Amino acid sequence: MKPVNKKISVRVNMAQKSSLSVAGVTFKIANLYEVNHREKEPILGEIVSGNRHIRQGQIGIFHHNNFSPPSPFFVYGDLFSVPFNKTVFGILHPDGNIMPLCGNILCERVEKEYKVYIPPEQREKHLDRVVVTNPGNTPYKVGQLLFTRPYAFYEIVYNIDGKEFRVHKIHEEMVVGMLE
Amino acid sequence: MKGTNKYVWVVRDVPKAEKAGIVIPRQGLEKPHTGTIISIGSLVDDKDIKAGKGKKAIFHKTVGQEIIYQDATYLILQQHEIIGVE
Repeated sequence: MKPVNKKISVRVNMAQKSSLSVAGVTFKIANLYEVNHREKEPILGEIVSGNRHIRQGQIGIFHHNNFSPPSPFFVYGDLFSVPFNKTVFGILHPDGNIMPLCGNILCERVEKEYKVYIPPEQREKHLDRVVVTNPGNTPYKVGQLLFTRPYAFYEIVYNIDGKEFRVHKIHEEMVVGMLE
Repeated sequence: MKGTNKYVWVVRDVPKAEKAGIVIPRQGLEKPHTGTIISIGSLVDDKDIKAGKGKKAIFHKTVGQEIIYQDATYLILQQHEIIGVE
């Protein structure tokens, strides 16, 4: 099947966040009952049919809504046909590096400054600014401070071989300003 | 500081002091709905706003996103939230 209308075909493991295999025994993990959909829905998918940006066989990182049942992008089995837009966050390379796509930017949230000592676990982070760690195909630079709309950051949570990884991303449309 | 996309950075005007010299707590003051444009995003397409750096912008009192950076407060407006430039 060749996807049309700027869509790509993706195969996902719908159980990737709800179960964990250890020494041949499968455990149902608590994420299945999480309220937070970022935690419990699949994010990673194998590209079955891609385009010039993301090719067949690569692992893509997607917005969790694409796969939340009942998904409008569901085809059959574990196959989905998702639009190639800002909901495609990037490509996960085998070495663990992420290459952001479609105007997405990988970033880190910035801690608030305190004039008195605050224990690290009680320090809060700004809701409207991030530091770029991987700008993808946007004009921003690594290490640059960006100001964003409040709560514009999205935490990507994904599992590889049972190990959990977390990164933050924003979309370039959400950037309101930058430090030159 | 540089605005991006369709966003305009404004420094809100300081409210005028009372004539009688009575000090009013800042929190009780009504915020003015005018400010000075300091930076304009590259996707702003209105020609009057584009040429408005350093000019006064007028906007509704409740719009915009405030960002505090290094003790300075900036107001971030979307292009359509600006009523006029003088």
